[in-house]
Amino acid sequence: MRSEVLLEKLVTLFRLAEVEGEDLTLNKLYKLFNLQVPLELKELEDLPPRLALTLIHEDPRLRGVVRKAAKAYLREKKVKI
Amino acid sequence: MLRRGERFNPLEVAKQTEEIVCRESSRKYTSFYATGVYGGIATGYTVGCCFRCFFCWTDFSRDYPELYGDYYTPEEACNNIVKAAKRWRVKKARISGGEPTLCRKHLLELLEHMEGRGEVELFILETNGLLLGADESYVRELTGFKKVYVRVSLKAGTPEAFEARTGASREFFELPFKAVKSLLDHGARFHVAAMSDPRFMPPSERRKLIEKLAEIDEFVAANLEEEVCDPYEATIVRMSYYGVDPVKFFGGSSLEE
Repeated sequence: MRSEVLLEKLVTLFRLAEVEGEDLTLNKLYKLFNLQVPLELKELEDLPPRLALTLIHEDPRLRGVVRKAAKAYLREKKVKI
Repeated sequence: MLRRGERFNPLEVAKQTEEIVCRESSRKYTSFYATGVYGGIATGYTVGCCFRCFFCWTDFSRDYPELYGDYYTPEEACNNIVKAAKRWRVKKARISGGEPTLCRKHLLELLEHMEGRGEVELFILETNGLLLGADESYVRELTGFKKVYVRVSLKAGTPEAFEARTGASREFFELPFKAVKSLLDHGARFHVAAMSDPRFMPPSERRKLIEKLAEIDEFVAANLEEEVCDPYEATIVRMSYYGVDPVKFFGGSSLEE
């Protein structure tokens, strides 16, 4: 259950990163949409979304769910995978 | 300045540019400052590039490297970047402007200096990926630095579009993708960006680009940062020079299939 919630949070982050991936920090980006930075991403809130996603993908505990979220996001965009 | 419509070997242009902008381990920069991108970042603005993209925002030091900038040793460049970081209270740094991977000796020594500076936590290397794709050992060397984070900026999704946008011959189209593969294989921290502005990249080309990245790695494709072209002064002049009407472009709409 917990990993399903996290998966959804990460897909949301991929969607938000589409709005702004480089210039705004996670903190500011989530605020723009009246959302809270998820607890799992708190440590990275001063980084822009693309960098934050790369760093959480590096974390062996989160790598699996990040890759699942990436796949789900690509499917949503109808990218052939 | 390369002539309009002239197709070139970008590895040759890289060498010729290095003859101008590199001197032993020093490299030409025009300025050091901090800016708001990446949530605040100290920047060293380098001179010289091996592509001639018509949409490029960089000032004219890209086209006339012999006329702009001063030489800085790796230590001097590092000190100036750290000084900007401290002044603006930011912990991230980068070198930008031209192509940072030109002058390999300078870059590697600069990164060595940067590793020892506690004021900077993350160093972002923004690159077009050409030289990293041409020489895997360069990627291996970069992954030895803990603070380095690479951002590879792709310019096109097909060889024809690559040639039309960068001026570089289409036979070099694969090299930036090779760089992406190599960064992945060596466990580097990186993400990919692409100039996929719908005003000049048709949807079919954008799809090809994303699918090509997905073949390399699904996470890399999902984490693609898509860039749009902004009306900087140098961009407008370049567009006119290369035969793209900036008024139509910036007032226009997306390309239809």
